[in-house]
Amino acid sequence: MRSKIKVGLMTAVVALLAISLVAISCAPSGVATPTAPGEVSIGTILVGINNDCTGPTAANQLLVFQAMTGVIEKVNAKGGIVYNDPNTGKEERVRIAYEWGDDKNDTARGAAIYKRIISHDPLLYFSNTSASTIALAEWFNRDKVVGFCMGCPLIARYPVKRYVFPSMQSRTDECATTIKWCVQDWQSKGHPGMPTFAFFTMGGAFGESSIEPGVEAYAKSLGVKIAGKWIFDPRATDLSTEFQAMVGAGVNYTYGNFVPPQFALVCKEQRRLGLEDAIKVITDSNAMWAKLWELAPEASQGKLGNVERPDVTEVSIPEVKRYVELLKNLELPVDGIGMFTAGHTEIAIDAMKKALETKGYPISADDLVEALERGPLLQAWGPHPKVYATPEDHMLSRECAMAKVSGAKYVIISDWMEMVDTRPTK
Amino acid sequence: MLPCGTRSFHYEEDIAIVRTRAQWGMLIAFLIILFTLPLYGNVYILSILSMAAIVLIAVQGLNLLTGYCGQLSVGQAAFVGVGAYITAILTTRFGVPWLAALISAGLGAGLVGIIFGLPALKIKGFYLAMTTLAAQFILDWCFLHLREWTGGVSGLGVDNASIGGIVFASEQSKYYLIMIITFVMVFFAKNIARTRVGRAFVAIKDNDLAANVMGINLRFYKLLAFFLCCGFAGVAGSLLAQYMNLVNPAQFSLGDSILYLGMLVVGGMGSITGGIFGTVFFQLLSTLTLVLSPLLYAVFPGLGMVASSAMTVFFYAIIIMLFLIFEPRGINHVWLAFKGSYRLYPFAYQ
Amino acid sequence: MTNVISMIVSGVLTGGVYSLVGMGIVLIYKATGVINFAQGAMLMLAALVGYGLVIILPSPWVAILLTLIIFGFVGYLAERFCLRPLIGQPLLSSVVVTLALSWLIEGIFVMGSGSGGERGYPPLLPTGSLEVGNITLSMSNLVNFAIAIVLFLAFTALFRYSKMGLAMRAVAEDHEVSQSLGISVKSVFSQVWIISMIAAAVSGILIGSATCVSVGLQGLGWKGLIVVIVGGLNSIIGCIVAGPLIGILESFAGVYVDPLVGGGMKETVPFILMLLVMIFRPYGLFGLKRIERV
Repeated sequence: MRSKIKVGLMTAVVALLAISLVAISCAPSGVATPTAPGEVSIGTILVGINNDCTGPTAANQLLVFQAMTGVIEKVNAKGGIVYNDPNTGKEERVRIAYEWGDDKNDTARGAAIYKRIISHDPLLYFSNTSASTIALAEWFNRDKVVGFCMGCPLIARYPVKRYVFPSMQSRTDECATTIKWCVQDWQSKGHPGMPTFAFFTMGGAFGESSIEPGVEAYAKSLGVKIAGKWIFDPRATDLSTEFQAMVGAGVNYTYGNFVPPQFALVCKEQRRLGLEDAIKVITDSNAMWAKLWELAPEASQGKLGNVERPDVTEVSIPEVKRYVELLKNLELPVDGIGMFTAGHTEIAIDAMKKALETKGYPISADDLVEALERGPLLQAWGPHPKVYATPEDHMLSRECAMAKVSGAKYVIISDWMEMVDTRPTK
Repeated sequence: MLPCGTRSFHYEEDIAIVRTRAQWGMLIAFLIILFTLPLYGNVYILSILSMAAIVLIAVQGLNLLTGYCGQLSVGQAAFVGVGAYITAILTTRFGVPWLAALISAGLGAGLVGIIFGLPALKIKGFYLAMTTLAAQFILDWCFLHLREWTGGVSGLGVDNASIGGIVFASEQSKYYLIMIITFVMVFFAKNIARTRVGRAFVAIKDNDLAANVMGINLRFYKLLAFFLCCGFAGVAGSLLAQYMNLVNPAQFSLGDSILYLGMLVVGGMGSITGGIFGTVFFQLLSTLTLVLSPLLYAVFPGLGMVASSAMTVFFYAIIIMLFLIFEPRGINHVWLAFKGSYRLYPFAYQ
Repeated sequence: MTNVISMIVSGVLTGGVYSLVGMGIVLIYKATGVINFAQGAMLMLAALVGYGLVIILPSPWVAILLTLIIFGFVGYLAERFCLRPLIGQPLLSSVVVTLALSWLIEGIFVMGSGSGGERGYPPLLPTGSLEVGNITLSMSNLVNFAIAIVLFLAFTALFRYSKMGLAMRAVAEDHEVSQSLGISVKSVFSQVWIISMIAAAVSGILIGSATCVSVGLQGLGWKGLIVVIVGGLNSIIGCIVAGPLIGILESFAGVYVDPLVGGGMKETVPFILMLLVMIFRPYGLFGLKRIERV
C-alpha cells in the first residue's frame, strides 16, 4: 500500500513537472468571448490584467476584476471596438482579449505573471495590486507597454514615466483635501482654532499609506495639529485603548484607509464607545460601502458610527447614474471602487478607439499613450468628476475624490472643493 | 551509487563531485544548455529560471542550517530581505559598486542571522522555530517602519547591477549574472557540506551532546551555520533586488519562508541536489498554478476565479504533506534509488 | 489614571482571547508533544463554517453545536491522517506538517468563502459595552474572557479528575510506558486533537462574531503561540496568565510606543517579549524546567 502510494506520488511529481513544462512553453494567450456571427473583426488587442483576488486586499479586488472584465466583455459583445479605419476607409472591428493572473499581493508572483503576459505582447497592462505595481512601473517603461496602475496610490510618489498611468487619485492629495475639508467643517460649526487630527489605519502593508510627508507639510501649513498615527492590528477585537488615547490627545477627526473588515470594526468600536460626536471617522471614497454594511449588519437599521449609509443611486450626477446602471447590468454591487474601475477601463477602450481611428490597426503603445494624453476622455464620471492625462502628468484623475457621507446622501467634496496638490514642485 | 567498474584508488577520486567521464559530459552539456539558453529561449523562460536560481541560493542556505545542522528556521525570507535592503541602501545612497554591495549584503545578512541565532545556543527544536518566526515578524516591522532607510511600504528603487562598466539591464544579461553567481554559491554550499564544517554540522544534527564530546565547538558551529544560512539568503536578496529593480516588504513574507522549508522537505533535506530538486519543482509548480488558474476559470466559470486562485496554496500544502508522510527523504532519495536500480539492471537486488 | 486602568482592563480582556487560542495549543502539546501551527487557521475555518451554518439553520445555537461537532471530526481527521503517520519522525516534520495544514485550511477557506471571505455574523452575543465607573468594557471581549476562564477550569478538571485526563497526563510523560500500562496512546492523541479543535471552534465563533470572518483571523494563531511560549509550553495556568499579560503589553505599546515609532509596535512587541522570555527563561513563566536545552 505504502509503496504503491510512493510510486503514485512520484508519478504525480513527474507528471506535474511535465505539465508545467508544457504549460510554460505553450500557454494560451488571452481569453476572448467568441465573435458574434456575421461580424468579422480584423484583429484583437491583448490586455494584461494582474490583481490579487486572494490575499490581504482581496476584498476590493474581486469587484475590480469583475467590473473591468465586465466592461471589456460588454464591448466584445458588440463585436469589439467599432471604428473607422483610416487605411481602408471602412468601418472595422477590433476585439479585446484579456489575460489575467492573481499575484496574491506578492511582488515575485506579480513579476512572474507580468513576464508571462508580456511574452504574448499585450498593448495595455492593468496592474491592480499595491505590492507589484511599483516594481512593474519600471518595467512598463523598459518594455514599452502602457501600464494602468490602478488602486495603487504609491505609484504617484514616483516621477512621471511615459508609459505609466497611475489611474487613481494620489492618496496624499486625497488626504490633504480631507484635512482641508475637515478644517472648514470644524470652522463652520463655530469652533475656535484648528481641529486635531489622528491617522488611524490598519497595519501591515497599508500601515503608513495615509500620512505622507507631503500631507504633514500641508497640515502644518494650515496650522492643524496631528496628534499621532495609530496603526492597529488587523486582528484586533478591541480598539478602546486607541480610541481613548485619541480622546486623551483631544482628537477631533480621524482619517483612515481601510479594507472593509477593519473599517467595520472601527465603526463598531466608535459606536460602542459612544464617541460618535467626539471623533469623526472619515474614510476614502474607495471603501466598499456595500461590503461594509454587510459586515456590520446593524448599520442597515440606521447609524453606524459616524458614517451613514450612502445611497449612490440617489446621486443626481448623470455620469454617476450611468455607472450605477452599468454595474447593475453587470450584476455587481454598486460601489465607489467598481464605478472607478469600470470608468478607467472605459477610458482605456476609448483611447484605443481614438488611436485606431488615427493610425489604423495595429496600434503601438506609443499611439495609445498619445491618445491617452490628448486631454480629457471622459468629462465626468462616478465620484471622480474630471479626468486628465497630460504628457507632464500622467495621473488619470486628479480632481478630488473624497466623499463624505452625510444624511444618507453622498456629498462629494470635490463638488465644491479643489483638490489639494501636494506634489513636489518641479 | 557509481556505475559498475568505477574504482577509487586515491582520496581525490573518492571525494570528487564529478566522478566519471559520462558525468563530466552531462555536466558540460547541461552548462552549455544553461548558458546558451538566452540565444534561443524567450524572456518568459529566462525569467522563470532566473527566479528559480535566486530562490535556489536561499534554499541552499536554509539547507545548510536546517538540512545539515538540524536547526529549524522559519524566517529565511526575512534574511533575504535584509540582503536586498542592504544592497538597495548601499548602491542608491552611498554609490557602492554592486559587487561590493553583494558581498556586504551576504556578510550583513549573515551578521543579522547570528544575532537571531544566539538563542540557538540555549534552546533548540520548536523554540528555535519560534525565535526565527519572531525574526521574521521583527524584521518585517523594520522593513515597514524604518522609513528613512527602507522607504516603508513603497520600498526602494534599485539600479541595475553593473560590474566594471558592464550594466546588466536586459533580461538576458541578468540571467547570465544570476546563473554565474548561483553556480558559484551552489558549488560553495556543496563544498561546505562535504568538508570539515559540513561534517561538524551533521554531527550536531545527529546528536549535539555527542558532537560536543567529540570536540566540536557547538557554539562556534551553530553560529557558523546561522551565519552561512543567512549569508546565502543575503546574496539571494542582493540578486533579487537588482533583478526586480525594487525592494519592498511584500517580497519577504512569512509565506515565502514556509515555502522555502517546503522546497527543502520535498527536494530532500541534507543534500545539495535535494535543494535543487525542491526549488525547481516548486518554481515550476508555481508557474503552473499561475497559468492554470486563469485556464480553470475560463473552462469552468462556475468555479469562480477565487477558487481557482486558491488552488495554489492548496496544491502546495497537499504536496508537502504527502512528501512528509510518504517520502520524508524527498525527491532526492527517489532519484538515488532510481539511479541505483538503473545501474544494477537487469539484476533486481540492491 | 482612568486611562491607564482602562488600558489594563481592555488589555486583559483582549488577552483572554489569546489565552483561549493558546489553550488549544497547550492541550495538544501536553499530550502529543506536537506544536500546532495550524490552530489559527482552524479557528478561521471554524468561524466561516459557523457563519455558514448560523445563516442556514433556524437556531444559531444548533448551528454552533453542529460546528463544534464538525470540528471535533476535523480534529480527528487531522490527527489521523496528518500527524499520526509522523509519530517518531523528527520535530521538523511535525512543524512543517502543521504549517502545511494551515495552508491547506487557508486554501479551503478561500475556496469556500470567495474573495477575502469577509462575513459579518448576525448578532449572537451581547454587543455594546459595560460601564464600570469611567471604564467601558467591551461586552464581546468580556464574554470571550469568561469563556476562556470556563474552558480553563474545564480543562484543569479534565486533567486532574477524569480518567481520560489521567491517561493524557501519562501519555505526555512517556509514550512507551503508558502504552505498556494499557493506555491506548493513539486514542489519547485522537481525543486531544478533538478537544483542541472544539476549543478552536469555540474561539473561532466567538471572535468571528465579535469582529467578522476574514483571513486575518488566522493571525490569532501566532498570538496563541506566543502566549504558549511565554506562559510555559505545558502549563494551562501559564496560558491563562500570559494571555492577559500580552494583552496589557499590547495596549501599552499601542498607546505609548506606536506614536513614537510610527506604528506597528503593537503587533511586534509580543514577539520581542517572547524572544526575551526564550533567552532568559526558556521554560516560560509556569512551564516545567525540564526543557530541551543544549
